[in-house]
Parts: sequence; C-alpha cells; structure tokens
Amino acid sequence: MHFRMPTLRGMPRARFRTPVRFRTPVRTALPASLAALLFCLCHPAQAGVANPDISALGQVIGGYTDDPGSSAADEATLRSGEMELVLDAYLNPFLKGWFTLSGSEDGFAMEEGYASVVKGLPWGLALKAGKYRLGFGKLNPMHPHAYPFIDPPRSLVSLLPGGEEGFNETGVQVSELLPTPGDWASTLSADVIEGKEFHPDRDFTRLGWVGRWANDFLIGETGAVETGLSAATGKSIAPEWGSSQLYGADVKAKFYLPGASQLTLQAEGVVRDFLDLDPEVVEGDSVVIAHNRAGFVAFADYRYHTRWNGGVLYEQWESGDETDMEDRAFRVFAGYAVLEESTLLRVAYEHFIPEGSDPVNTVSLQLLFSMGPHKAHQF
Amino acid sequence: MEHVHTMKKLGALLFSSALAAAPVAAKIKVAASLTDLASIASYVGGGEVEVFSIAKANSNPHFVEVLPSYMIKVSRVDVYLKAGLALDQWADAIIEGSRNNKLAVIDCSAGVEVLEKPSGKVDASMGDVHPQGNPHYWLDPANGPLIAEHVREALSKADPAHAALFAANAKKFREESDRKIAAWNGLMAPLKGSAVVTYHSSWVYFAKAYGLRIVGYVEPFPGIPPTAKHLQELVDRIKAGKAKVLIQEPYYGDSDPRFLERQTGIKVYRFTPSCVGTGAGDYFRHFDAMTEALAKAGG
Repeated sequence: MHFRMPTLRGMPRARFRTPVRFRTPVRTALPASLAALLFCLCHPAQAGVANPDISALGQVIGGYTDDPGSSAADEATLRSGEMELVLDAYLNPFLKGWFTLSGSEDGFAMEEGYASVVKGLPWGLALKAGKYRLGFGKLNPMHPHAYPFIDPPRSLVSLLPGGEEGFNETGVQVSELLPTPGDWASTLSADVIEGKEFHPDRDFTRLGWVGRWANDFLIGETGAVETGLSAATGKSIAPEWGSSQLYGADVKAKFYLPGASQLTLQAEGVVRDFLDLDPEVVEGDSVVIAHNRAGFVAFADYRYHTRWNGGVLYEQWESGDETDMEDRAFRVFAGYAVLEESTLLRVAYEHFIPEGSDPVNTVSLQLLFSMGPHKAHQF
Repeated sequence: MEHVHTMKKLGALLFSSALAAAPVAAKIKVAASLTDLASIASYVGGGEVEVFSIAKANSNPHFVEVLPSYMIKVSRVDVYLKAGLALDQWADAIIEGSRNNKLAVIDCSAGVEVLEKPSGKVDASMGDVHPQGNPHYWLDPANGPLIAEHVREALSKADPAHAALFAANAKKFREESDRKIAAWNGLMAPLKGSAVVTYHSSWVYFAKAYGLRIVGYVEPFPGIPPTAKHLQELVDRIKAGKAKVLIQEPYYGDSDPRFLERQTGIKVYRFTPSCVGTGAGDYFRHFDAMTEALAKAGG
C-alpha cells in the first residue's frame, strides 16, 4: 500500500530556514495530464493489456502549538493534508513504471514518475530513470507516510536539498548488487541528477551526482540491519565557483519479536557543505563563502501485534547558515491501525528547542486512510 | 590372456580416475516462499538440491518484509517456488530485487482445486479477500503430491541429468502421502462433521480434508480484527454449533480466543500454518502433529 504523510506545509512551525518551493509550472500542467491519464486508465484496455495497480491515500490532520510565530498559536487546527495517488505497472517483461501524484488545495503535482529495468540486465545491474526521491540516506527515498511518525524530521528538512518536499529530482540511476557471501547484501548505486535542488533560485543548468553504498545483514532469524553511506554533489551558486557537497551515514536495525511485534532502531546523520555568495558583499565583488552544517536524527519504534506502535525521536542540527546555532527536538509518537493498515490513527508530541528562542510544544493528530492493493513492506 | 587382463585393469583404473577427476555437479539451489514448499522440494530433490524458505513457520505468510538479504540469497538460486493465489505478493519484490535473470519461478498453486473463489466483484468491504480464491491450499495434504509434481518438473528442467531421481522421489512422496493421508484420516475420523472455529480463513482446506465444519471465524472478515459484538455473536454460534476446537495461528493475539475459551469452553489450538523445518519429512510431520493434537480433542 502506498501512503503519503503530510508535509510540514501549513503546520504550525518555527524557524525553518529551508525555503518552501512550489513547482508552479508542473502544478498548472498537471491537471490536464492527470485527466488524460485517468481517461486512459478508465478506457477499456486492449486484450492482454492489464491496467496498472492504483492506490490512493487521504488524510485529516489536527494540531495545537504554542509557537508564538505561528498564526495558529494556542489554537486548535484542523485541515486536510496532502492526498496521494500512485500508479504502477509493468511496461513490458523487463521494465516497470511508477507515477506518484500528490494533491492539495494548491492543485496536483507529480511527485515521482519513473521507469525501472527490473530484469534482463547483466552482472546484478539495475537501471532507473525519471523523477524520484533520491537514495540519499534511508529516510529520504521512503515516502514519508511510511515513517512511523507524522512529520519528517526537522533536521533532514533543514539539511537536505528539497526541504519539506524531500530530496527529489529527475535523474538516472545505475545500481549494482555486489557479489557477496551468505546473506550479506551490498548495493552500490550512482545517480546523475538534474542538480536543480542544489541551486533552486538560480538560473543555470548543471548536473549533480548522488551515490550510496548500502550493506544489509540478517541477525539470525530474529533481525536485520542495514548500514549506509551516501554522498551528493552539485553546483549551488554558479558553475565556475566550485561544488557543494552532502555526506550522510545511516544505520537501521530491526528485531522481529514474538507475536508479530517489532523493534526498530534507526539513526541518520548528514553533513551539508554548501557554497553561497556572501550577501554582505555588493554585486560585482561577489565572495563565495562556505556554509558547513551538520545534524542527526535517531529514533526507536516499537510495533506491537502489527496494529500498535509507539516510539521516541531525538534530533539535533545546526540550523543557521551564518551562525553556529544548534536546534534540538524531541518527539514522542504513537499509532494505531483501526482495523488493518488501510486506516491509521497517529498522535505525536514534539518539544522543539530552537537555540536562542523559547521552546515550542506541538501536538499533532492524524488520520490516514488508503485504498488499493497491499504492497510488499520494504525494509 | 594375461595381457588382456592387465589392459582391462588399466582401463578400469583410467575410467575410475576420470570419474574422480570429473567436476562434481553443483546442487540445484531452490528458494521457496513457504517452508512447506521448501520441505517438499527437499523431498523431491534429495541430495541434489539446497533449499531454503523465506517465510518462517511462525510468520504470517501474507506479510513478509522484503529484506535485501533475501534478494541476495535469491540472486544465487536456480528455482523459486511461489505459493501463488496472491498470498506471497512480497515474493515478486524479492525476485525483482534479486536481479537473477536465470531464475525459474514456479507457481505451486497451478492446478489446485481452489476454494472460496469469489464469483462477483471483490473489494475491501469483504475484508482482505484474495480475488483468486483462498490461497492456503498446502493445508490439504491431498495437494502435497501436486506441489511435488511442480517441483519435479522444475528440478528436471534445471538438472535434466537427475530427472529420473526427481521422478522417483516424487513418486515416493506420492506413495508416502497416500499412506499418511489414510493414517491421518483414521485419526481424525472421530472429528468428522464436528464444528470448529478458526481465527483466520487459513484452515478451509484443512477442514475440507477432514470433514470439519467451520461455524465461524474470530475475524469478522478476512484480515479484520474482531469487534466485541462479533465476538458475542461468535459465542452464541459456538454454543449453538457445539464447537469444541478453535484453531489459531501464533502470530495473532490470543486475547480474543482466550475470551471465547472462557465464555464457551472451546479449546484453543495454536498451530503454525506452515511446517517448522524445510527438511524432507517436515511437511508430513506438521500434519502428524496437528492431527494427533486434534484427535485427542475428539477422543
């Protein structure tokens, strides 16, 4: 089942430094594309041609915050979050295609649209091309609905290009399942990407790169662990002024407990080494300065009998480009599948401590509902 | 004459040396979604196969998490045995992720007389209904030989040199099944026609095999946990039907079955839907254990 959790857009929040970007051209073009796509789907298929799997997700979100910077400070709020429509199917015996459309009151946007060669390539290779959430770290490539908590971690929103929308670009990925002994799975992937997320407000074109090396092991029959190293590079100011870099490391361990229960322990760290122009220098005498920021998020999630989950999350990150301000946040979260995984109730409390400001307390409630085929659960 | 004899000895020596020097044929590597399919593959393949199962006996076969470690293991196998009937859809993600272009994927449900096959529109208002019918067919031991035949065919294609061995083992499996089924039928005879309750609709093939009447499910719809109202109705149904046996998989919570036990005196049996091991006789041993336990209830 594909879900989509809400982005932070519209949620009470404080001191997010990452600017929110709307892809206006895509949003305006998409209703027509969506209508055409739905027409094609509803149109009787040719003999022997199967319709794609379709799944959809909707949500209702309630919240309360004491953030004095929020227009809804000390008020209860209720809103509909982002809706998501996912289509996937084999294109032929070797290729599979995916489309993910996200909708809100602002219109529809194509979150992902890509094709992947799933068989036929030699030497354990796989190929993916299109627009997709990039494999930087373990959390970014997942659709946020699959996180055990409501909102994406603030540290990742602040440090990764793409901010609230995730590090999501048009690219081509080659990955290799390395020959390894036993149940050790080692996957090396490299993406060449459009690179726009490195320079979202600047008018030039220059490709970027993303790489990841992931290693997975089984812990007997009772658990599994994955470790990953990621790196990305691109041009953030102008092509002639050097490159900006991102580095990441992550680890995820899951323990399968009796009675269909699970314990997940996960952590992810990011170092963001971005170049920018010094805003205090007048145009014509531009000076390039480096903004080096880092942060991490760690959480534990206990899932009881598949229907209940609860956990804690802690994150800490350098939020200011010009200063060494370090923000922290602590969350407690819980979820309950009302009947089975198609209807989820979630609640979260966050204590956010922006350095130099008063702490902000936020409570969020979420109802997620989804329809469509049950998809395999990925690690 | 002595010269001829010496030549014969020399020939024999050369032949045996050649045999010794010949590379040892690699075993066929087989992955299976379920331990039951793996166990049957072990039986049919004998010493010529290496077998493992993705789902464990106590896993819910509907929901297996796709781990990269499963993909690397499947990347090295020759044959994958799927349960089919949309039970192990997770296997497709593992197979795709394995990037194994030489893999033969066998749907072991082919040819099975499928029960509870929906005739009309299927949607989520009916719960997690499988559009192709109930997929728990391996729990009727009469379907064991059919699975063995699929395995024989797949192994023979993968290693034609041992086709005769696989055919002999499949025949032996069929014969042992016949003997075992007769014994299990004898054990279960006192329970024939008796009312039972099961947690999930995993046991319809098992019930058909032994003439058990399923008078209710703990789940009001497949995959949907019970409500208090449903449990109360089930209490009435158990009492009216005089059901003595409730079969539950260990991965479901036991509070609801225990409630029914307290209210009605029904006895709860926690059976894994699949056999515990992947060895040659484990598929049979699973039925041995279940029928012996239930026979005590009927005795």
